[in-house]
Amino acid sequence: MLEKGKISNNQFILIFVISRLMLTMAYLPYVNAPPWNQDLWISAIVAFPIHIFLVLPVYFLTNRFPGQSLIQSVETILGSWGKIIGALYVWFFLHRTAVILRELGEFLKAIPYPETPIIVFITATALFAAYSIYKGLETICRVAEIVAPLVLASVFLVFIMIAKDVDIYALTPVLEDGIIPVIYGGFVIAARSTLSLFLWVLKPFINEPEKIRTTVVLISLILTLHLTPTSITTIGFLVWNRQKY
Amino acid sequence: MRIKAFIAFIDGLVDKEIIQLNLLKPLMIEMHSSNADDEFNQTNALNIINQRLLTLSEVEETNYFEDAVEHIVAGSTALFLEGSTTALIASMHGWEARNVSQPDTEVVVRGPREGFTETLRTCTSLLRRRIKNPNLKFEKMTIGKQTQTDVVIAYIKGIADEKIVEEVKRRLSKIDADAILESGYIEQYIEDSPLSFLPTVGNSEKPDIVAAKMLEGRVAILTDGTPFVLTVPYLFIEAFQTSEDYYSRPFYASIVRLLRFTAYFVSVFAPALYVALTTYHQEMLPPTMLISIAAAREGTPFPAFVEAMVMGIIYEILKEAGIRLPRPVGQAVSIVGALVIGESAVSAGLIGAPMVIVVSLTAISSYVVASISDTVSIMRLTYVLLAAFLGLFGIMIGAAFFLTHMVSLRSFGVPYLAPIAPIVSEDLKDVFLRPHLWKMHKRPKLFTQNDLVRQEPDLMPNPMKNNTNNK
Repeated sequence: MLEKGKISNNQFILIFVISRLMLTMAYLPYVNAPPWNQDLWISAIVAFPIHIFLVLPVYFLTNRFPGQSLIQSVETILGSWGKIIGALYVWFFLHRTAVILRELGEFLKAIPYPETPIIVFITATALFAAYSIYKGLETICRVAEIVAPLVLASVFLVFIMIAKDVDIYALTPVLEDGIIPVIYGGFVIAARSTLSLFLWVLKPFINEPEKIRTTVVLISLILTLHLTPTSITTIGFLVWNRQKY
Repeated sequence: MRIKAFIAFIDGLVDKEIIQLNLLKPLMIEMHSSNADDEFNQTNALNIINQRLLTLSEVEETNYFEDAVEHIVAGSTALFLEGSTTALIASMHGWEARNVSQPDTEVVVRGPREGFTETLRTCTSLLRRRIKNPNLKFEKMTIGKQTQTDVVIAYIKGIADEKIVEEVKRRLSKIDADAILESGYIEQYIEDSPLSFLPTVGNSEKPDIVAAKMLEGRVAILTDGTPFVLTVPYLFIEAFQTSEDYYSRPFYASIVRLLRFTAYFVSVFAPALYVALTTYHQEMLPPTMLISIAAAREGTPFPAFVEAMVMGIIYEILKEAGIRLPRPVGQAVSIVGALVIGESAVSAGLIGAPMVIVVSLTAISSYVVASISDTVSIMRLTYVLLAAFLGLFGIMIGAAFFLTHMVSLRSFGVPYLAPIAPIVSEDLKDVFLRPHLWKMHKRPKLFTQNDLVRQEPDLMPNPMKNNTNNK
C-alpha cells in the first residue's frame, strides 16, 4: 500500500520533535553519554550546529533524487545492490522499533506496574502502532499536532516547578575535561536523534520541500532549547558531582 | 357547450376552502358570467381553464395517469376533463400541522425561540426569513420508494463550496431506500464513516443555528416530516459551540466554552481515572485524600471497577427511563434514582460515597455537551474497562486509539478534528475562545474558499472617534 498523504513542514517538525522528546524525557539516554560530567548542557548546545551538519549529506542526496524515498533512492544509486542496502534499512527500523518498545515496557514495569508481565505493554503499544500505521502518515501527523503542544507544555511546566530545587553551582567547574569530550558529546546527541534518517524517509511526503532548510534549523533549535534546560535541571537537581558513576 | 369533468383529491390533505373558492367557483359560476363560455370547445377547454379561469398559483399539466395519481396521493388536486388526454394538477395542500414552537432539545436563554416544524415549507420559509438573499438556494429531491419524501438541499451560492454541494447531491441521489421517515434515515445513508461511533453529520432544530452554519459555508439538508435539519460537513468542535456563545458578549462566552471542554473531559475520563487511581496508582493521590477515600470505601463489598460499571449502567437505565416514561411518572423515577441509588446505596454500605460523587459529576458534565453525550457514554464505559485492566496505561492506550480514530475521520472531505488537527491557524481563534465578532472578519477556511471575507477587518466600535468625525 503506497502512502499518498502529504504532510506539512510544521507537522514534520512536530512529529520529529515529540518522537525525540518522549525518549529523552523518559530515559535521558544522553546522561550516560560523553562528556560524562557536568558539561552535558554545553554538549546539548554544541549539538545544534552538528545536527545541521549531519543532515547536509541527506539534504543534497534528496535534492539529487527528488520525490524518492530512502529505499528508492538507494536503489537508484546502487542498482540491484541497493535492494540489499534498502533491506538493511528496513531491518534497522524494525530493530529500532523493537528497542523502543522494549524501553517503554521496561520503563512501565520499573515503577508503576512491577507485577505485570512486560509482554502486555509491548503488545498494547505495538497494536496501537500498527493501527496508526494502517490509518496512514497524515493521521499520525495530526495526532502529533494534538499531542505535541500538551507534551511541550507539560515539559516546560516541569522546568518551572523544579527550578527552586536546582543547584546551579552543580554546573561548575565548566569545561573540566576540556572541549574535546564536549564536542564528542554533541556528536553523540545529534547522531542519536537520527534526524537525517527521518528526513530521508519522510521528505517525499513533505508538501513544501523547498522550505526544508528552515524546517531542519527549526527542529535543531527546538531540540536544543529542550535538551539544554533538561540537562541543566537534571544535573542541578541530582547534583551531578555527588552521583557520578 | 358542456364538458364533463371531475376533480380528485384526498380528503384531509387538501384545503377544501381553496378548492371551493379558486377551483369550483370559477368553473361552476364565473365561467358563465365571463365570455369564456362562448369560445369554449373540446380542444381549447383545457387552455382556457388553465390560463383564464383557475385562480391558482401552482398548476401543472400531465399526460400520464400514474403521474396524476402520484400527485394526488402527495396532496395535490387533479382536474380531469372529458375528451382531454391532459389533466391539470393544482397543489392546494392543507393539512393539520404543528405550529412553530420552542424546541425542547436546544434551549437558549438569549436568542430566538422558534424551531423548525414537521412541514418542509415552513422550514424553508423560516430559513428564508433569516437569510433574505437570492443566493440562498433550495434544491428539491424526492427520496424513498414507498414514502416519496421531499428532501431539500439548502446552501448559499457563492459561499458554499460547489464540490461539497455536488457531493451532497451525489450521496443523496444514491439513496435507494424504501422509506425516509426522519432525517436520521438520511444521515445513516450519507455519513462518511458508518462504522465509527462518532457522528459526522450534524443536526439542529433551530433556524438561527442552521442559518449561521450555512453562512460559514455548510450545506443543510431539510427533510419533510421532521424538525431536525442536517448540516454537513460536521466537525467535532461544533459540539462545543452554541448559538448563545455568539449572542452574548465574548468574555463570559469564552469562559463557558473552556468549561465545556473541561466538562467533556471530566465526563469521559472521571470514572476511569477514579478506578485507575484507586486500583493501581494509590501513590499518585495525596495521603490525606487517600485516607479519606479509603475510609469512605471501608466495608464496601465490590472493587472500584464493579462499582463504576454498576453505577454507570444504573445511570444509563435511569436516563433512558426518564426519557421514555410518561411525564407524571418521571418525577417518581428521579426521586427513586436520587434517594435509593445515591443515598441508600451509600448508607447501606453497598457503594462507596466517592463513586456516587464521580458518577453524578460525570452525568451532569455529559449534558454540557449534549449533542455528543451518547458517544461520551460509549467512551466512558470503554475507558473504565481499560482502566480496570491496565490502570493509567490502559487509559493512555485507549485515548491514543480514540484520538487516532478521530483524526482519521473526515466529514465530506473536511478532517473531523480540524482546525485543531490538522492545525488551521486562521480558524483556531474560534475554537477554545470566542473572539469579538468584529475580530472574526473571515469565514472559516475549512469549508469553503469562496468569498472568505465577511466584513471589513477593523470594525471595532469606537464611539469617541466617530463623534469627533461627525462634528
